[in-house]
Amino acid sequence: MEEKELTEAIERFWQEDSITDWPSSASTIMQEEDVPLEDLGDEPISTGNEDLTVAVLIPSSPSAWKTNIIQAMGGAKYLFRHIYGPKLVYASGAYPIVYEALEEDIGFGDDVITSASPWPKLWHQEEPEQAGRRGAFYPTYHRKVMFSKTMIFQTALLPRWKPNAKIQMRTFEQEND
Amino acid sequence: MTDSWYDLVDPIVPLTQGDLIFDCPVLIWKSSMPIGEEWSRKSEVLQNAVNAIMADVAVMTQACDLEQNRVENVILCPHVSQKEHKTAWEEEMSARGHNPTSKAWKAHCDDICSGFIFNYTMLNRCQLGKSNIDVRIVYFHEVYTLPRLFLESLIKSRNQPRFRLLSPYREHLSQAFARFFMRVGLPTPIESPWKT
Repeated sequence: MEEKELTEAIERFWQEDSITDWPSSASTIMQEEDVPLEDLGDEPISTGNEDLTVAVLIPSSPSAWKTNIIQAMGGAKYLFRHIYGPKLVYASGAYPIVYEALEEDIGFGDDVITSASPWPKLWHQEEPEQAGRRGAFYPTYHRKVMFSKTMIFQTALLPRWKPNAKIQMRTFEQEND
Repeated sequence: MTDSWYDLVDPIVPLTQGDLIFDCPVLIWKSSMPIGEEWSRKSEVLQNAVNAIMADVAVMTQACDLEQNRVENVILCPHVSQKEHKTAWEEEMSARGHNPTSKAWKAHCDDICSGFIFNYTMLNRCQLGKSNIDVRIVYFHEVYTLPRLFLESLIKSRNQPRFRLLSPYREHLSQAFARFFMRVGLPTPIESPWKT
């Protein structure tokens, strides 16, 4: 029964241009909107507020909020917005908090996301050059010198290197053929 | 597109992979050194084990590492003329009790060209104006290093153009070198049932 009420309330608030309060820090379970809500109530969820223990993430309507959902605040980028106040009481007695997000930002069931992407913060930091991070890495290193010797060469007098052929057995096998 | 394997580059052109440097002084380790009691004096043993020689070498260090100035030392492998290699090959064949026949020599050269002998690769002959280079055989089982600064100074002081392998021959050389290192020998070969 409570489920039905919750669903209806979500529908109702979906229609309203209700507003919003940006969460400062929260974790949530991402679920498709048709996932049975009682499943959500059993998940350990930390919202940063002990009274608000259930978060529901639903896809935004195709037309609404598209341009307003993703916003940067305080150096963090939020991919969803809070659309529902704590008026509903979930079956477990917890307050469900409803967020909406663009469909492409919603993952699969049981995926856990944080409320704020770490990337906006990282964007504030200067990234090392790609060439320096990938491929080969050449740190400056200090060799332990065992000895150091001054060598004087008279290049004209140096002996020529004499090739020493290392022959693979294949040649012999072919010859025997 | 040219059929040439090489270009001739001025001494001021920075070094890259596939550059051939003739008469290059390099340091090697003596093939024998005292062991046993004298081994406690490792530094002294090593000091006395250094030899300087002159060799024709090919630059094996990756071109991008040289271009981006990421390496202090340049990896080099010696290369010899076909005639020099033939002499060494004949000595080795005789030492193994095989007859260094003309047929065997041709098979050996074919094997190098085809990449069947991992520790060598063959570079084509080339004529560029008045400069020409004969077939060269690069030895991968000998590897030297020289400080990049030394090598560049040597090239500038000589003030002579040098042969540089063009793409894709440069990469072919590099790949052959890589294959020499990455090869894996199987303890039990495939039984070749198709031969029976």
